[in-house]
Amino acid sequence: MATTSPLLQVHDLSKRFEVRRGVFRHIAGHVHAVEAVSFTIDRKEVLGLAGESGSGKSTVGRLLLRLIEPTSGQIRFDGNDLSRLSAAELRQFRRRAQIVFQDPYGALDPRMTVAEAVSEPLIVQKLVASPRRARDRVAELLALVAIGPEYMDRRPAELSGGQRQRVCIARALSVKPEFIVADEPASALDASIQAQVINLLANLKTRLGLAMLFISHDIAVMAHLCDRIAVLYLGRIMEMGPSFALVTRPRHPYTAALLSAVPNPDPELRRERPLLEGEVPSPVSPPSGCVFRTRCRFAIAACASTVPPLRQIDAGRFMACLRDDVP
Amino acid sequence: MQQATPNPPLLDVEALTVRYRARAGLVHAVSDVSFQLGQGETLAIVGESGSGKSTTGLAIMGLLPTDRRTIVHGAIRLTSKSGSVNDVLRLADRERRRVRGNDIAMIFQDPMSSLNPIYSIGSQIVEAVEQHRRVARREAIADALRLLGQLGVPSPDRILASYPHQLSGGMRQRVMIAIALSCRPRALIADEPTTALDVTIQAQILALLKRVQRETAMAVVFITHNLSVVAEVADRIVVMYAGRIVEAGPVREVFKSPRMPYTRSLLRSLPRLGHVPRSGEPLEAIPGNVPSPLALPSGCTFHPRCPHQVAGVCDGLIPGLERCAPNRLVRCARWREID
Amino acid sequence: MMKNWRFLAGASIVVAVMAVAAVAPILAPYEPNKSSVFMLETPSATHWLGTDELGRDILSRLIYGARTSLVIGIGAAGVALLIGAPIGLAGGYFRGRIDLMIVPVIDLFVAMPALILALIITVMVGPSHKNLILVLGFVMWPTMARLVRGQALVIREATYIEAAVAAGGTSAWIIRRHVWPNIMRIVAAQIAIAVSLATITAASLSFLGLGIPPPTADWGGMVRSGFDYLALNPAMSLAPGAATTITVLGFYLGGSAVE
Repeated sequence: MATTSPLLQVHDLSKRFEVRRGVFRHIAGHVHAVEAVSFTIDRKEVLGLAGESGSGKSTVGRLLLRLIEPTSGQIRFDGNDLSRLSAAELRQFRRRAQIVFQDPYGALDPRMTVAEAVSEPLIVQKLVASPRRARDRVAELLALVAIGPEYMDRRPAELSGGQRQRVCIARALSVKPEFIVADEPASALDASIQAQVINLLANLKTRLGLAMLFISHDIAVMAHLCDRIAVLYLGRIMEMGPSFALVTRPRHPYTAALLSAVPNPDPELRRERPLLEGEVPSPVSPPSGCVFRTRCRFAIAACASTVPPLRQIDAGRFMACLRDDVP
Repeated sequence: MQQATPNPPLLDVEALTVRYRARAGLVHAVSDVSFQLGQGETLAIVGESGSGKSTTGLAIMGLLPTDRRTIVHGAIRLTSKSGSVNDVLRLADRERRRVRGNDIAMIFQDPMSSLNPIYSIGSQIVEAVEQHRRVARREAIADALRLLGQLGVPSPDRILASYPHQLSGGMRQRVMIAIALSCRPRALIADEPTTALDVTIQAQILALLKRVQRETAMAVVFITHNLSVVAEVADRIVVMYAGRIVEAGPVREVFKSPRMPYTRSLLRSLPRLGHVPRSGEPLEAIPGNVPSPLALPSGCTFHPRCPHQVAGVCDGLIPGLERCAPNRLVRCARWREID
Repeated sequence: MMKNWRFLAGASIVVAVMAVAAVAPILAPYEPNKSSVFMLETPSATHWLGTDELGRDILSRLIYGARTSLVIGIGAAGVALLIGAPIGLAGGYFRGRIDLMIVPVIDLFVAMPALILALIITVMVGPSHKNLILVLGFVMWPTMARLVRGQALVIREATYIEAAVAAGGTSAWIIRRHVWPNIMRIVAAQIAIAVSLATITAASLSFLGLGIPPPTADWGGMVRSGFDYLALNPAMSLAPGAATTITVLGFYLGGSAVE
């Protein structure tokens, strides 16, 4: 474990969205997207954020980059409280932390060429003297993501989904960030291309020493790329720990259910498994106490009245469950 | 070329070819596809975008556009409940509508586009029932309630009164399955039914489909790009690439020893939870991109991306579909040489 | 776009009218404001469309009238753009309080008929070239703002806007580099339509006597003065009327085809 302080420290982060209804737009309720989430990411470490719909994982990614403002909680990047940054400091932060979005089709301005898109962060951050000087750097970056220089003056419409995503990665890398949020970077792509993008990210992580927050619903892919994984459900962390251990020996009932639901690409291992029943409750009115209790086979009376804290059960291993003896 | 099925085939697709005349040229969506489906079987059609798998599904349902820009050849023989065998492609519209829903039904990836947003769920299920069976409305509603209950829908009466946008993705998919099953079809075509769903809901829906199959001996054509799901649900698999079948056979055998390099590469690119390696080990990726249907490579359409391609052999003629084992077909010029 | 017949037809008309306006001095056989003793003549070899009540050549006045129409029309559209676009962008992109103030103003103006409003204001400030351009521009800016605002609202939700924010882009940069280029095409179409609207409104005002003051050659005014002499020489009203209609049609066709 690194002895220097972590690059990113998230403490008790919450985000509630208002639901407004009616002619007068009065507040009808709140969407509890993220609730009391805490974790750290060390330099050069990749943390995976796993979860299904309504888990709040994408919201966490955007909160970390201050693309949306938290309702409460603290985010420290390299020791600095993100909410207290001046405009100039915020811009500096944006040089050190970047994001790759899920949708490669929407993430590139259809009217900009590949070179213009990749150089935009450089120009905005005033890291190059002029757009023309940027072209050399753009060629370098495109080479990093295995896109030939002949694509520099093409528009996104002429590129495939996988190529567009690689351009987005090149753009994120242009300012030499230390930290990248990858929000489902391969989900919108064909199966044979997904592996390409995941491999690229793994490769870049090693070569450039990047720290990453890798957000995905595909927990199998996560184990390949991430050092640690945090599992989210309805905005709360259910379990967090080293990838291999978490995936082979899950301690939280939801993690176990999630892993057992993943189809196995080996027909010989086909078997009847206990299924997770029911649906995810609405984030506007999450269950009291442990949010997972409505679908948990091991729920007891105390689960309805107490919110289980995220407690350490092992070295680097955390779990939010009142019980110790499950699954 | 026929594959042995234990029962007389319910569905017999022979040399299906679908082409579209687009402004940019002729699109070869499906080329020379043949397969059979027996009662109670689950056949998986696997492919990525542009493979022609969805077009094949639509063709079987008789849902291809009937304008002059769509050119269809081949035969799709369906054995109806009455025992008669009809070629779906040559039926008149009215006959086709009778077959659709009654003998064969289809569910899609996005229930929102198949469910009419302005009608309640109940009225849509009842409408489906009334189209095919002459029953009183009250009986149709009772049927619908029972069906929803069987599909694991809690408080079905409340669901019947709801509208599509009020339901979650998993619930809408269940409603779609209920509508598809309402007339007890002998075969169901499922086009990516769980792709848009969470993995835990996907597991529920897959288990649901399996249970229905066990109880009714319904056959399923499962169209997907997800090989792991195929491993879970299918008896036989047909792999499509750029409109052609490139490999076919029983699931267990194809997964254990795939003969077509595309199938191999696809299987190798899947991350496996079972033996999770230390993080950092790369997944095997297929280089390049799926070819555009307007500009297919010469010879074997996969050869530009194939690690085993040999110039002169793979880029000339399109390899034929050969029988490499009693139950297995492969379309590769070099399958004998590749270990 | 080139294959679109509407665009081709509209663009041809606009180009033709502009060409006529540009070479008016060369094209027109006489001085437009030069009166003569040959009053109210019917079309002849020397005066192809005849003369008006002051003996001025109608054809020449028709040709010079193109200049007036274009200046008013394009000028007014330009004013509408200059006022409307920034307001629309501000409301659509920043939303919040700015937007809440803008929207009722826009809705109010859009609800009022352009001609009546232009009429009322012109009566108050008096007709002149400059006033007409400003008044018409003022009447049209809310429609422009509404269009720009609507487009900006949609674009700001795009992921590439979020990406630009994440890169550290300021609002000014994002609007200049991402929002504006993506709505320019729609705005261009709206400008063409605004020109056609301004032209017909100006012509209507002239017809009502509130347009360009004499002696400037102006199609609306010509229609009006020709009204009294319809029996003698219908060309006096019909020619400028047709010219107005064709010009308005040209701009409108071209604009609507681009959308």
